Amino acid sequence: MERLREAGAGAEPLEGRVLRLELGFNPNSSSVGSLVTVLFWSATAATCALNFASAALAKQRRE
Amino acid sequence: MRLRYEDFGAIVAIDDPPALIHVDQQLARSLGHPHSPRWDAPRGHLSAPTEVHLLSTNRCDAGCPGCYTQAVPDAAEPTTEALSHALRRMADAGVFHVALGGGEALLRPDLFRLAALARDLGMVPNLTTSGLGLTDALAERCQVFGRVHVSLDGLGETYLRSRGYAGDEVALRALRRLAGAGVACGVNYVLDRRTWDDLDATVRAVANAGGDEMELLRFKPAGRGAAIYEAARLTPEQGLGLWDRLATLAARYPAVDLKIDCSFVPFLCAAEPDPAQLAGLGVSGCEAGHALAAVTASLEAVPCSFIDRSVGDVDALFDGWDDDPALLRWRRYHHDAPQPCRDCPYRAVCKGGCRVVAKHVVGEWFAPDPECPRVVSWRA
Repeated sequence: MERLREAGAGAEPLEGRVLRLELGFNPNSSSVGSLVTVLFWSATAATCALNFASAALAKQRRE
Repeated sequence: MRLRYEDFGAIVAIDDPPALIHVDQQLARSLGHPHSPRWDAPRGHLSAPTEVHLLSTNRCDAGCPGCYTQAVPDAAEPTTEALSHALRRMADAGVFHVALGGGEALLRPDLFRLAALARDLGMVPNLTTSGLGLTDALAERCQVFGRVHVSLDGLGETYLRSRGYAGDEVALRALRRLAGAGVACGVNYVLDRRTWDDLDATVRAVANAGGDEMELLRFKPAGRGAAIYEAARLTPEQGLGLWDRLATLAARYPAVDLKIDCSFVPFLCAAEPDPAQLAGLGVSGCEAGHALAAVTASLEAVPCSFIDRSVGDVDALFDGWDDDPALLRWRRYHHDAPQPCRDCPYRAVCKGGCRVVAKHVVGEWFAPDPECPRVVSWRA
């Protein structure tokens, strides 16, 4: 989460919406993995994750 | 940043932090990508898998009693050329991530060449290993991977009972070597009734060894695992307690991210979290033949590694991606699901639970997961 926040720091979100955020790589070669740690954050923090993702895209677009 | 057009807009892959971000059409345009013809003619499914599991060999010296691929020390394995071709087809289709496994993938002398090829083709290779044979020099070379996980099903006697050999120290040593080499690493942990009690101690050991992620896998009745499934699967009480167990671990060990595999999603949903939040935060139930496909060590393309129903070779997989009736059936189970899945608020996330468990327990691939707590409750 912190890395995601830093990745978008200082960037204005672009127009449009993040629909879904799948964090991490999945090295397991037998099934699909889902990060569940995020589910135990507060609802606000979870919403923030999508906003941070949008900002991260904006920053990478700018760079 | 890589972008792949989809019906809804696009999937954007970033590597730091690693993520696949699904965006709507407006955001795709904001990122500088023009209108896609796909938005005018939606297909109702992804344009390709987001990840493919490539079982690069079925050779392995470990001999685990639950091995779903039935790996043995002297199995035949695909050629470098055949695997290179598979990687090229994946890249051409727009696959983002490739999980290399086996058997024991480290036994392949060309493993790092294949991983480098995946990188050159624009994909991120990842690796699962038992840790057997992972030297300091090999750990350094593992920097080519996005992430490496070591299989670790408990400690001491628990590992021995689960995997049939005393390998926990080998696995933890491998983890330390990977972490020391700066490789993002963690473990895969088969969470079943034999390993349930060892979970806390194992997360602690993973953190101490430098791992930062632990993926919990449900035991599957496939390969050699089918014969011991009833003795290994979680008890109903353990299944119902999964959410609380994860929440406790997440609070206790914040340095280790917890993941669950697709087949555990029915148990997660038993705690009745917000379905929209699950979907938004990327929780995936059965993605067989949709976000996920696999290529076995005999080069058969299958909807997931545990399903022994081939859809042909890797060319057939990608040539038939949009229209193959078998693929459509795997990926659309939840659209036409029987009760109680049909009216379940988690249907779109869970997608009916594990098809492999359904096949083993009730004899049908396309039946609700019989161990899902909601299914059990509905049938009572």
